[in-house]
Amino acid sequence: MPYPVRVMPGSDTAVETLGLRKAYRSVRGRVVGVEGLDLRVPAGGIHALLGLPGSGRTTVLRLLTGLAHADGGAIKIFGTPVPDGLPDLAGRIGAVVGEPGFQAPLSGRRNLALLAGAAGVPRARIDEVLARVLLTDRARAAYGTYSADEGRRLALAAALLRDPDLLVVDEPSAGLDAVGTREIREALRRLADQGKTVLLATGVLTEAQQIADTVTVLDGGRVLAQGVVADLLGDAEVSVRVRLDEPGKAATALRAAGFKVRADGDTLHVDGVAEPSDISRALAKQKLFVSELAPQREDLAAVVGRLRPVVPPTPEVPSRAEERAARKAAERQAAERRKAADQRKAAKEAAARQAAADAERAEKAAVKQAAADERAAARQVAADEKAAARQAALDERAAKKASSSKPDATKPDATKPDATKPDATKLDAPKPDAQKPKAGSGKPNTPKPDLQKHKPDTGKPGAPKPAAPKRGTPKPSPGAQKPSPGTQKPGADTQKPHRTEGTR
Amino acid sequence: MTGLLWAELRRFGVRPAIRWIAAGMLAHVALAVALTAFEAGASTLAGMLEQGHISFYALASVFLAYVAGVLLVTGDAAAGGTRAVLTVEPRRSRVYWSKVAAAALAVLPGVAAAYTLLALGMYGVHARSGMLGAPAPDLALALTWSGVRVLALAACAAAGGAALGVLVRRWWVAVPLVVVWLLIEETALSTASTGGEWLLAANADWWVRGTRTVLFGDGLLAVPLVHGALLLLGVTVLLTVLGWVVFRRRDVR
Repeated sequence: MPYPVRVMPGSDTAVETLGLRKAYRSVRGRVVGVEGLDLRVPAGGIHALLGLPGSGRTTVLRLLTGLAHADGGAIKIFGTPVPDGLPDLAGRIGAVVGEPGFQAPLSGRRNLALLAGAAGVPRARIDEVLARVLLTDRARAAYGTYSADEGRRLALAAALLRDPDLLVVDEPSAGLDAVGTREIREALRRLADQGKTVLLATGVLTEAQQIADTVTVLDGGRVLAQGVVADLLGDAEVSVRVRLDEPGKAATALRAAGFKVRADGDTLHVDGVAEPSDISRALAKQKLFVSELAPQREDLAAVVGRLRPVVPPTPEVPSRAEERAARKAAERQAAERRKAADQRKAAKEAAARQAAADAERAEKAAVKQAAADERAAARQVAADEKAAARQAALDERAAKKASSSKPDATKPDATKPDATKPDATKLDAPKPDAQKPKAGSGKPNTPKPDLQKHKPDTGKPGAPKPAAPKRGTPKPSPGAQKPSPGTQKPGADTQKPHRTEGTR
Repeated sequence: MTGLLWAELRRFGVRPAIRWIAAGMLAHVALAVALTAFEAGASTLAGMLEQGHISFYALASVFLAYVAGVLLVTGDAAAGGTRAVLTVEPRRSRVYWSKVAAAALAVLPGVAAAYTLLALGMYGVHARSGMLGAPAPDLALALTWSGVRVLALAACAAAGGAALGVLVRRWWVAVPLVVVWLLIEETALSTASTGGEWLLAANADWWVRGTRTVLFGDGLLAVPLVHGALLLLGVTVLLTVLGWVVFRRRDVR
């Protein structure tokens, strides 16, 4: 026994399934045929398996007839477990599932004879079933010359060979024209009226509405709804398409009359209409006359959509492997974030350290420079004073010489400064504020002495020569001399002339 | 079971491909006889039997029987027929064995006709030119027994073909599979120093020729006729049982 039978025994149903499962596996992956299907087909009458393509209705029929094996669940047909009990049910089930595989060169009768031989059915039965599906006239014609609905009816005749109690038919009207569709539906209805149980799978809503007594609506391999057709499909609401000259005014009037109106350009759609004539009556009261009034029946997709339960989206419970993978990913991300933060912090600290070192270095250089400038200025003042004193002595000596050769009245006053010469002490005196670094600038505001002013007038005879550089003259710090490329500041360049000044 | 077998045989008979295969068998042996007639003096009929020329022509019919067996169970028509039969007879074992038996039986008339044409044609051509090479009754007996063995081998080939067709479900897989296998045997395995006694083609040839002894490596292979029969039967049984197990469990398309 491939799977446990859990169906309640002694039921009066023709077909019963419980938790039926079937999935198809291929290279493209796993496709669910039916999933946990609980089906109940009452004995007698026509039961329709209604569903959109891919809903699993053909799979159900294949499982019931033993053409496919279920992955799980249980099936009972007339109380006999399937597929183990199928040999016992062989004479009680007839099926038309898929193409019947008739031989085109053989006549319809010969094709039936082959099956009758395989099923152990007497030849006389062939004529009976041919008459039942209204194919007696065409019985001797080759199957290859049959029309689609004749082929369908011959398949139906083949299924009726053993006079089954349950007739399973997949898509009875598929590929048939209107006449063929009507004939096959009438044939099925007649069989049901004779006491047979007909289980048909269809994707045509009107087919189920027209001939079925009970219906099971399938969706995604599951039962959406199950019950009497009138209850499930009979109350299908009708939408009416209305066309007229003044759609805006008509929409207002219909809404006022209690209709649900949707405007679509010049066309109005009135939903949930019990009687379409109510619409024209309501419009006529407003002196609005319709040019088109077309009732539109609810289609199967709408029925399935209406019956489909509205399930709030629940977060899918991840599998253990997925949880593990998600946890690892989160840990990896956290570690990466920590690492990045550490790197950013380290870089920031390094930059701060570098900035502090640069500032300190610049400050030291500025202090040193200021001291050097001060010393240089002092030396310059001293040298100027010395030169002035020498000049004064020379002048005095010259004056003395002149006075010794001339009378005293013509002698110039030696104590007065020479008005023609510049006052060196005044020119060379450094400005007090220029020696200090400007507050907030971060770099020393080094004085820029005017070299032209400091330059002694060497063209003049007796002018003092510039002092030769002395050993031990303080030099700027190496940091100030060679600033690093990254930390070089404009102030560092301005130190060069000062150094020249300082070494003079 | 008889009804099932009869239904399968009828279904087999009405398939156009099977008729083409039967016609192919007859055309092949007719061509072989015609070519021999042009060179009737090249060798005696006894020599051709001894050297395996007759068995070579007969084995082509056996291969076509295998193809026929494959075609019985593959293709859309076969799948539809199987589905229809299973709805009236859900016992899968019965359906499967009826197919295998039908394949084995259905090829017999075609192969018998082809071999008869081959044997009579060769005999007639060589008798006309006086190149029989052995007493006529002995030759007739040898040809008859060879024909019986060819029929048995063709039945096994068709049954194996049906089983392999059930396993792979596509004729364009099952037929090239055997062709490739025979090519591998012919090129790679036949040159190997050991294991040559297990080659299918070689055993089929010994079986058809009725070889009594074969020189093999260091010694003789005793009764290669029986060896070949057992090997080919074993392979057929293995294939059919494997096909049965798969057919019982697999979904019908």
